[in-house]
This record gives sequence, structure tokens and C-alpha cells, in this order.
Amino acid sequence: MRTKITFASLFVMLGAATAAQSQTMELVVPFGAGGGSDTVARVFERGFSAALDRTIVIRNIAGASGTIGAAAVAQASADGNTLGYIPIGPLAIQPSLRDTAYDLDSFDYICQTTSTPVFLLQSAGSDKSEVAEWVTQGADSRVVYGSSGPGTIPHIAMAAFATEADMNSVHLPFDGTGVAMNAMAGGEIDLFVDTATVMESYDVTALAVFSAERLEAYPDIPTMAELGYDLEFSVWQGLVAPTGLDEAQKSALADACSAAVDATAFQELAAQTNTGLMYRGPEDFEAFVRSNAEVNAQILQDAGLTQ
Amino acid sequence: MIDVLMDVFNIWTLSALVLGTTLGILIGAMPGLGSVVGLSICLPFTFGMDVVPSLTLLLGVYCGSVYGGSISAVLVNSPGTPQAAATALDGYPMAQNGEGGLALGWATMASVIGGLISCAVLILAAPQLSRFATSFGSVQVFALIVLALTCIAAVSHGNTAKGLLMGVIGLMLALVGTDPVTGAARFTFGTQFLSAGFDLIAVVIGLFALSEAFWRVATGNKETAKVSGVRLRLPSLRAWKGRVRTLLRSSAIGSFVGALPGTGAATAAFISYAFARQSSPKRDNFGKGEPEGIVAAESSNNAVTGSAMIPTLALGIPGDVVTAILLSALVVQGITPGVRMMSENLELVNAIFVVLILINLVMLVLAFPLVRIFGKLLTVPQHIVTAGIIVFGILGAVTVRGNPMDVVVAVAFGAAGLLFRLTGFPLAPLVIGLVLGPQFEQTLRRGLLLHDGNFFAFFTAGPLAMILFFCAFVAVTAPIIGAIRRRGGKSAPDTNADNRETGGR
Repeated sequence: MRTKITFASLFVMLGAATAAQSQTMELVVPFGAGGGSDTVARVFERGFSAALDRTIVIRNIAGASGTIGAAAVAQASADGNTLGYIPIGPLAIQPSLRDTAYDLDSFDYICQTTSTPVFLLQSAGSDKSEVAEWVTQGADSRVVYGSSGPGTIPHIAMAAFATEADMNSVHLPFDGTGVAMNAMAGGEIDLFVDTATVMESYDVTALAVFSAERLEAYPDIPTMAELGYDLEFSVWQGLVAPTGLDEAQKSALADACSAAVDATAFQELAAQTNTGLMYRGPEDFEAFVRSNAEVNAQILQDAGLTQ
Repeated sequence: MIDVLMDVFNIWTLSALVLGTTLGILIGAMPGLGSVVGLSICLPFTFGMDVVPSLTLLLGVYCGSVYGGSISAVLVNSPGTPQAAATALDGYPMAQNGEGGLALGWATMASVIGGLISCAVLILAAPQLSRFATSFGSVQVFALIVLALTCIAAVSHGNTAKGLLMGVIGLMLALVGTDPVTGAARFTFGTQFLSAGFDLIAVVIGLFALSEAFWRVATGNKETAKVSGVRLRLPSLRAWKGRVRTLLRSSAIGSFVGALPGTGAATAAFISYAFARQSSPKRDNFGKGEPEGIVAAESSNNAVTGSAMIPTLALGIPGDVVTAILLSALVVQGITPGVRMMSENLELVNAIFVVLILINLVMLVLAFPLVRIFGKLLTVPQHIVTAGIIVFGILGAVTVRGNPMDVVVAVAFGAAGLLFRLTGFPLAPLVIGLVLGPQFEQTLRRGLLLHDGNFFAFFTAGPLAMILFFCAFVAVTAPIIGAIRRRGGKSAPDTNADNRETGGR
């Protein structure tokens, strides 16, 4: 009797949960609610659902650096009812770091929404003022750099720089940017790579930017290329679907995506958070993801991290 | 100052305050739902609100949920969150003795006072403490975690060997998932699901809430506390005599631990409990329903709520998921958190101070009706309570990460928890191991990377680490030396009360 009640209530609950989901479009965000990707995705969703005139539910499936959520998208049916708002990590980095249940062929690429270049940062209290001084220290002894975890862009960009500049380096991975910034303030790490948001939030100064040209907002910060290191890195996000989406549906989604990127709310959020907007259509986005993944795989291999 | 008061004392902020705190207490009191779930539910609603009301709502939910966890911990022995796990150790035995209302009275007073003390610390010492927190490098945090691990002995309830074993199991479970240095998957048996590791919340729900439900089914509800119609009863002033020291010390520990990024309320609660148990004249009564145990756990986990704002507001560094969500609410409001926040948004920061104080006071008022509602709810037949624990537990497990496999984890740990209870293995040490495991490993490995793999360099890494290692050494050796002395003196066989208890529940 007691167990019957228990199980009955359980089934009612699960049944209600599945029935509610079948009507609307589901947008999977592979990180927790309240995180950086989630905040952007929620603002993007407003413009996207308005353009499509559909109800969209955001589903956060977090864990394993976003690969669980990305796998959920890859395994969903390709009826256009499940899409993923996925940043660079799970798409173009993690598949070379670990066994994932998906690869680049598991997705149809709809559009890219953002691209934010990253900066080389040092503590504001540091006695150094240019990249060359760190390169000298790296050649003579070592530099310690932090990251928000192995295989993140802060790690990959710094690892590539250390190789390119022939520095002895030690990589300390932290559980997220915040904790790493605490270590930077305490002098445990020398260098860190991250976006303008991080640069503005913490007591750090930028030495260089990993972009092709100097940024309009930061005209005084040199590019890595100017300093002799041909390195470009950015963090980006985009919209993908399980592979097998029909072409008409794909282009309709891409149009809606383009409208969502142009929406005022999205533009405002981007300005507030120093996020770079970048729309790429289906073909361009796919080509970009594939080449980006290849570059990252090579760096990880050089750093001895690929499996 | 007038501006700040205008910000706080208006209808929007005050209703957000009451609503948020109520919601927080209710969410915290549901076995299975905790601070993170509550905040993620509320976050999207704040997008359309003004900045002070939106932060008030979120802070209310946060503080309320930390306190609310004590209600289910005491009344149904089902702490839904790791931070309330230490509260159940003495709270539930009190409820079993028919003193559930009084146990909650202790928990409420301790929570409010702990919260207020940490507000004071936040207001008076935020810049200094935040700077001090940056001097905690990987080695220093490692030393602190080692000290925290020694509290496993204190919560082992008489069977130290079984407790240590459970602690080791917890540490080993923390290894499953992703290697924090290389990013490779390990101990996953090739499954995609395990590469995310065990979710702490799912494990806690299984181990405490679900296993409690299973235990009730297995024993036919014979041993459950009579808690229907319970009313909150505040302890008399006289009863505080001799317990004030624990209250103050635990609040201080909570305030300090909360200010360190990457630690948290569960760590603070366990450290305080361990300290209280070692130094209290009533130590023999710990684990059997000693109010001082509740005071230690609840004052320190609520003291974390105020001081967690120290790195968050002073440096823009979120110490945990909760403060990260608060920061993202600020970003959406167009405020850049960070080192310059306190100087650039002084009015807002001051409003947050006032709001935090108010939340703690409102909590004291709200506790009475809310506990009463819970008491009413628990008048339903016991098997419905049991079903409720299971339903909310499973709901909680699936909401945290949105991963249905977490339900399987929760149920599996529920079954394991039942086995542990039946065989007298204490559950709390496993949670301590699992909570501290990732930090323990990460700080150890970062320290080794920094010192070229030389572990002995940890002991010469400065006075701070030395002091913490020394404290850990004392914490381990003092009870042993004490036991030897007692045995060496008048050979009273019963003085070591630790060996008499059976542990487990």
C-alpha cells in the first residue's frame, strides 16, 4: 500500500513533465542556469522566439564541461524541435580532449551569434608592463599561468603562446574564472587569458589582445601579431541542431537567428557584457567550427593533452 | 544614507524581501530543493525588476534556503542540502525525543544570530578580509581542507574506523568524472554520464532524504519522530548559558570560511560542529540531541551567507555557484561586478548591507508561521510523508543539472544509505569526503605543480599554511592523547563515551 502510493505519485509526476515538453521548442544550454552562456542564451531566446513566433523553453543540461548537454542535442530527433545554444568548448575543444558521445558530424550548423576576442592579462600590481618581459622571464626561469579549467580557451590560448614564444610555463587549472582571479590577486599566477568582461571586472591589466586587429574599444592594446606572435583566439557561441534537419527548416531558423542577433535587447546585453556580436550563416558557421576545432586539437596535442 | 533607505524602504523592495525569504525557507525546507535550485528558479523573474528589489529577492531566497534546510533536517531527518547535514546530527534526535519545536528554536536563533554577526563582519571588514583571502593560495587552501577533513572523526559517532572508511569512500567518489588538471575522463567505465562526476546534491538527496524514506518503509515508521503539529519554541535565556561561546565561535568560523572563495556553508558547518564537539563540556551528548550541536552547525552555515558577499562585493569573485548567480543578476542589470564595484556603486552595496540585516530579522518572524505550516503538513499519515520525501527528493535531483541520470544516482545512494544505516556506518563522513574531495585534489595538485612535485615544500610555504597544518595535527592527536591520559589516570572504563554509541542514525 505504502509503496504503491509512492510509485503512483512518481509516475504522475514524470508523465506530467514529458507531456508539457512535446509542444514547444526546446533550446538546450549545456551549462547551469545563471552562468555566462545561460545569460546570453536567455536574452537571445527572446528575439529568436519572437522571430519564429514559437514558444521556446530553455533547458539547462550541465556537466562534464558542457558535453552532456551537447550530447543531448546530438541525440535528439532532427525535427527542429530541439536545438542547442552551444559555446566553443563542447563543440570545438572537448571532443579532442575526451571521448564524447558526438563529433562535429553529429550536428547541423544553423548560425553563429557571438565572437569575443580574448586578452592576455596580468595582475594590476605586477612590476612588468609588456609581453617581452614575461617572455624573458619564461626563457630564464618560468611563468605560471592560470586557467578556468583544462581545455578552456584561457588554457589553449596561453599554451599556444608559451609554445610560440618558447617559454617555460606551468599551467594551474582552477575551478572557474573567479577562483583564478583570487590566485592572480594573491600572486600565485602571473598570466591569464580572458575576455574584456573579466579584464574590466578584476584588478588586472591587459598586455595584448588575441585578435587580427586592435579593438575599437581598446585602441591602446596591441595585438599579439604586432608583437610577433601570430595568434588569434576568441570565445564564440552558436546555434546547432541534431544532424538531418531539412534545408527549408534550416534556412528559416537561420533567418530567425539573424533577426535575434539584430534585436535591441541582444545588442544591449552584448554592449553591457563586452560580448562581440558575430552572425555567420549555416555554411560559414560550419566551416568556421571545423577549422577552429582543428587548430585547437593541434594545440592540445602539442601540450600533451589529447587522448 | 537617505538614498539608501529610500531604496530599501519602498513597497517593491519590502515585498521582494518578504516573498524571497518565505520562498527561500520553503524551498530550503523541501528535502531535495536547495539554494541553487531556488535561485535558478527566481533568476529569470528578476530580469524585469529594478536592481535593489531583484537582489533583495535573490538574497532572501539564498539566506532563507540555508536556514530552511534545518526544518526538514530536524523534523524528518532529511537535509536536502549538504549544508544542513550537520544540523540533522543533533536536531533529529531532539525531535525523536519530542523536542522538535525546541530544536528548531535553537536552529532559528542560531541562524539569525550567525547571519547578523556575519553581516557585521561584512560591513566592517569587507575590504580587509577580501585582501586577506587573496593570501590564501593553493597550498593554504589545501591546509585548510586538511583541517576540515579532521572533522570526520567528530561526526563519526563513536565508531571512528567506520567513519574514516566512509570519509575515504567519499573522497574516492569525488575522483569520478573529469581529471581537473588534464581534462581527461577517469573512473567512468566508458560511460558519458559518469564523465560529469557524481552530483553532490543528487548524492546528498539519496544518502539522506531517500534513505530516510526507505528506512521508514523498512522499519514500518516505528522510529520516526512525533512531529505533527510541532510549534516553534525559542530556548530560554538561561539555556544559552555555556552555549554562547559555541555560538560566537561558530559564527566566526562561518564568517571566515565564507570569505574564502571556493569553500562554502557545508565546510563551515562541519568544521564548527567538530570544534564544538571537541571543546564542549557536553561533548558526550553530541549526536544524541545536544542543542549545542545544532547551534554550532546552524550559526556557522548562516554566517557564511553574509561573508560570502565579501569576495563577491569587494573583488567581484564569486566563491560558489550561489554568488555566481547573484553576480550574473547584477550583470543583467547593467552593473559590472568587480574590484571597483564598492567604490562605483556604493549606494547599491549599502542597500545590500541593509537588506541582509533585514532578511535575518524577517527570517526570525517568518519562522513561527512557516514551522507551524510544516507541522500541520506533517499531520498527514506517515506513509504520505514518506512518499512526499521521495517525490521532492527525486524532483530535486533532476532539477539541479537537468540530467535524468541523476535520479538513478539519487536512488542508488538511497539504497546504499539504507544499507549503511542498517550496518551502523555513519553517513555524514561520506558527504564530507565528497564535499571536500574536489578542493582537496585540486589544491594538492596545483601545489605540487607549483613546487615541482615536492610535497615537503608545502610545510615551508609560509606561516599561514604552517598554522593550519598545526591545527590539523592538534585536531587529530588531541583526542588520542586525551584518551590515553584518561585511561592512564583513574581507570574508569566508561570515561571514553565515544565507544558506547552505535552510530549510524
